[in-house]
Amino acid sequence: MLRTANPSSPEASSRVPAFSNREDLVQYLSTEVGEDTLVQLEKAKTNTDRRRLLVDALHRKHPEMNGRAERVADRLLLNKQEVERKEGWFTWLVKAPFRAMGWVWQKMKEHPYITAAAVIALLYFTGIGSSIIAKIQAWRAAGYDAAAARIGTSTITPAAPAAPNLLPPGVTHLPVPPPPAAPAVPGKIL
Amino acid sequence: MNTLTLTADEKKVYLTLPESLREGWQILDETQTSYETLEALEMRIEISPLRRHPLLQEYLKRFEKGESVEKLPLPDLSQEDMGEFFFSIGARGMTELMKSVLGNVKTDDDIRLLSSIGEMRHKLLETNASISYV
Repeated sequence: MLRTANPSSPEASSRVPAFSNREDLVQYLSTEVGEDTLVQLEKAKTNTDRRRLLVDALHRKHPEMNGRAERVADRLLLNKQEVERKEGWFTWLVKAPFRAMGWVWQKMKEHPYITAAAVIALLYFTGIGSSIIAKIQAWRAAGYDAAAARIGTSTITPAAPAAPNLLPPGVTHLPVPPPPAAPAVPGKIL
Repeated sequence: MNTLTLTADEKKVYLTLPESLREGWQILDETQTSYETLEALEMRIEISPLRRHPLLQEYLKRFEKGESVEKLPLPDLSQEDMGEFFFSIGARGMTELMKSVLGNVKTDDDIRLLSSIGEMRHKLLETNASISYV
């Protein structure tokens, strides 16, 4: 039987948990697709091969998945990709020769428009709901200069840009992030 | 010689800055293009421990009560949480930060800030390019 991590979520039909570290993801995958598939996955040369390996393994383990296996495989591969990218990022960051990140953060604080953009990004991390999204959108639509004028911020220069956009080009709205994933129970969420 | 890693568009803006600010800096071209997809950025947020940061929950409450974004200061975060932040906004988010700084450069420290963010972005682009499964 197919089960999702959060059946009450409107996206439950397509959501499987996301794992924040390699160990949890590997443990989950080894249960769901088998260790043999995991070994083959690491040896696979192309993304097409990786996807096919996962889809086939999911079909074998969960024949009732039918057409959902592709979406589940894509999400698991995306999870794996981002976990490994994060490992690479932190490995570099620890040894980074450039200025301490604390210095960068303090300098960002000196720029009101960067501070506002970063605060918005931070609020977004909290898994904020649609009402907050609407408030943020209204703030951005009003433009940062107008907002700054409203509160009497004097440090903004005429050259300051409108509300900085931390979204990818072409993206005009902030999607509501899913709630934090419940602890995954192998064999229970697919 | 200090270095600044800039995209072609950023370089154009940089070259309009006063010579006194540009003195002593060498520009390296940012030619990598492995920017994150929207799905990848969403995944980064989903797996970020920042989502459960107590200070951010406090900020969320203040924001929900109507406090404006401009009045919420950038909080002090641990080095690790700052690393999480920059990873999660991705090279795309860093590009937006670069754009904002570049449009408002006034001091040598602003150039150093550009240099630091540009270096982080370059490394993240490299990492993105080296690990791609979807």
